[in-house]
Amino acid sequence: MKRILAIAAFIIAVAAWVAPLDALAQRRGGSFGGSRGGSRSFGRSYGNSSRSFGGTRSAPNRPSANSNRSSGYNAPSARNSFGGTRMNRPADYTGRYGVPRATERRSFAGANGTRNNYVVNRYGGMGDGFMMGYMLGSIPWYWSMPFHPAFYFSRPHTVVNTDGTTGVYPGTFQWGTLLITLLVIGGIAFVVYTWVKNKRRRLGYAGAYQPDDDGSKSSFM
Amino acid sequence: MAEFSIEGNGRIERTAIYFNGQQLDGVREVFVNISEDGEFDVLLMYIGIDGQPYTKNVFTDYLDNVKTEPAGFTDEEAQTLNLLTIVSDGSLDSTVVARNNEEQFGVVRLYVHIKAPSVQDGKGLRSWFGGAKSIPERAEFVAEITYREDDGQLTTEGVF
Repeated sequence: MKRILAIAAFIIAVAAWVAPLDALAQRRGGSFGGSRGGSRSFGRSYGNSSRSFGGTRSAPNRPSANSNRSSGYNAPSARNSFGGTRMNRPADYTGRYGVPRATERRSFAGANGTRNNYVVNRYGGMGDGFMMGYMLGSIPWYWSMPFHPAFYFSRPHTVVNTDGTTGVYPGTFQWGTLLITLLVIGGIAFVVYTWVKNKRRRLGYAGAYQPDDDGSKSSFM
Repeated sequence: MAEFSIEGNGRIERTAIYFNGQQLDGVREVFVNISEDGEFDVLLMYIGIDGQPYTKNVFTDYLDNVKTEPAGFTDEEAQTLNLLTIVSDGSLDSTVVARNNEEQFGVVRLYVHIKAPSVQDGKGLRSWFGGAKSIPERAEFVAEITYREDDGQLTTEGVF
């Protein structure tokens, strides 16, 4: 029975490690599901009239030439609701984590030496600190180790704002990574524990006397 | 007449088996069942010098490849242990049982079963996860001797 449990734990741990859970979780996003509240485009109110027929074309809902079209959903022409990641718009992040506690414009050096301007949205907490580390290019090696909290946070999210600037949002805690890590570490620990336990049992009374050695107290091995 | 002795204090770790004065090594199991009704089994299971298991009748079979070792217990240690000796040629009529070198009389039955937990090293990855196939039984240590008293009652005592 323990052998079956050990093999099952090992298989689950390997499968969980190999499976791209984060990618799958992000891909399933789109515009559907979740709890984005009022930012959803569908189900908006179209005034008091509940039908499109009748009346004139100058109905109250028809935007005038001078009205600001961005008062509604201002979707970029090249973007639709399908594909991409869930962090395509600032609202995707703020809809889940609220309004940033602080927003500041900062300039960070890019890979080729040029400086890029970012709108840094700060929420506080560890994710905020990790975000600044990533943006400054300071990524210690131990951030990739399971014993460091940064291992369980995603990389900062960058989104293109409607005004063309690039917004940066802190990385989010990855429950999937934590689960996988626990499974892997737990599986390894279980394998080691089982191995040590069985090795001790195989030794039998070797702790009391060494079998096959001359001059031992007992004749049994 | 061969002499087969068991010396110990009731624990396998402190039990020595002697055959004609030599301490044996690699013993896995000892089974003695001698009764006045005619039962006569004195079996010894051991791992020989070739690594193979052997099961022998002590008084009738030759102990092939049996391993021996120098006596482990000192004289001082031996004083705290009990010694059971069986001297026989394989027949009940010529069998003498002695406890601590004292010949016993009125013995109805002698039953000894000492067995070390038989655990063998498995091979391969499967052995890491149990090796239960190689662990058939637990350790066992039973040593009893039954006497017939002068009034005809039977009394059973532990040997060690």
